Order: sequence, then C-alpha cells, then structure tokens
Amino acid sequence: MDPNAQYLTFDEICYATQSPSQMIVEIVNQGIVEPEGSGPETWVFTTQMISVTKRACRLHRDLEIDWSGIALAISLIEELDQLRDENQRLRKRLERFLDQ
Amino acid sequence: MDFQDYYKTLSIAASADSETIKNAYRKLARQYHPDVSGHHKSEEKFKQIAEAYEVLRDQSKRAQYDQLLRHQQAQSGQGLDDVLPENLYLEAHNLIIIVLLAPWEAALGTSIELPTLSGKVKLRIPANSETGQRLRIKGHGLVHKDGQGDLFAVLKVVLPDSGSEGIKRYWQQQSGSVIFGSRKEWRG
Repeated sequence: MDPNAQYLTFDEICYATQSPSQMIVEIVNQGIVEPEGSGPETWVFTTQMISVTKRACRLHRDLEIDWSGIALAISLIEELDQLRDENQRLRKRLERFLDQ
Repeated sequence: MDFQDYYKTLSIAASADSETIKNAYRKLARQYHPDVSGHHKSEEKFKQIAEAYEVLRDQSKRAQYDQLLRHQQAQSGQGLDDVLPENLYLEAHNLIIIVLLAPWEAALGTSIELPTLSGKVKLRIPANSETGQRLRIKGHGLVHKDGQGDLFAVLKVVLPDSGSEGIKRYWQQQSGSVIFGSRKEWRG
C-alpha cells in the first residue's frame, strides 16, 4: 500500500457514498471494486473506489440492473471512456495534420 | 420549470400500461444515463426521464398528474379550482397566490418557495414589503393560444399566533423602542 495515499475503511466508504453496507458488500463480491483485506472488518478502500462505487449504485438504482449486469456495464463504460479519450486525442492530431 | 408532458418524455401513449411505462423508461434510461451516454445534454435529459418515470410508475401520482395534464391541455380556466393548491386563484390566464408573511419577513426580506402548476419556483421577497404588493413571476400562469399567463404573488403581512406569551412580550418590547408615525396627520 502506498504510504502517501489515503485509504478508507468499510464504514467510511459506506458513509462517503451514502450507501447501505449490504450494497457495498455486493459491489465487492462482484469484483466491481477490489479492496485489500479478507472481509468487511479488514477491507481497505482507495479514494478512487468512491467514484466507481457511486457509479455502480447510481446504475443499480436508475437502470434497475442486477449486480452482475452492473459489473459488466462498469467495465464496458470504463473501456468506452478510454476509447472516447483516445478517439478525441486522435481527432485532434488529425485536425492538426490537416491544418498543415 | 416548464410543464412537462411525461408521456411525450417517455414516448408512450397516455393510455400505456405499467409494463409499457417501465420498458420505455429502461430503454431511454440506458440511452441517456449520464454514466453511460456521451451526449452532452444527457444529464438534463435523464433527469426529465427519471422525473417522468417517478410520477407515472406510481398509480396515485399518475392519476393526479393526468388530471393536471387534462387541464393543461384544455388550456382553459374552468374547473381548475379542484387542482389548485390553497391560496391560489385564477384571474384570466394569470394565477394569483396569496403569500402570508410574518412582520419580520416583510421588513427584512426573505426567500420562499411558491407552489405552481408545474412544481415549485423560488421567489425573493424584498425588504420593506407591504400587504397588497404584487410580485410578478413571468410565465407561470395558464397556457393559452397567445402564450402563457403569469403568476402573481400578492403579499399579506400577518401577525404570528398572538396567543403566545413570548410573542406578546416581543411586541411589548417593540412598542417602546420604535416611534410609529403613521397617524401624524390625525393630530391636531
């Protein structure tokens, strides 16, 4: 673990994401976020996991998808985000190339 | 906030059953969910979709909304009394709402939320407001063929529950501290 990074306990991530503990357990069981530790008492979450957890909760609530579907959606969305970024970078490069 | 036709938002008929409503919501929510969509206006669009679903999925909320929608579509002032909140009156296409203010709210100004046909709007009451003053909130009246009427907030300053001892003591303190000169012209 990085000594300079900030970490959250199970209770703290429940509070930070305003989510019931059961929901966090489900999100971890599905591998959507992977805290270090062997169970809720010892789990350690990174601050980056807050936004992923919040996103999973929103999708579960708004799209009425079950948790395994959420896990799939989250990994596809992450991939989509990467592709969008890459697409934008390439477009900019192409525009510069065409301008010359 | 504009009046929203929730059936149009979800692209369904007004007679749609609950299964159709649910399916329409799921399809649109997947398309416009801000976590999924790359569309720049997706958040706004998703909020409208979620609001429409929130109302139409619930039978009693839907019945209330249907009633409001019929009146909105009829674009006529008749028969509106049964859906208007208390203290809201109709004057041609304008809505008049009586806003009760405590003396300190009238003196110091305040910010309040007004109920309208299309939800709540915020209104700032300026300092030194008086009974009878009308504040216009443009475009929150009834829709008619040439546009939309306005909402007027008519202010009425009222005394708080005068039976309370605390309030009475407060007024007694005030009566000595401020010289009230409103009846000067009556003096000989």
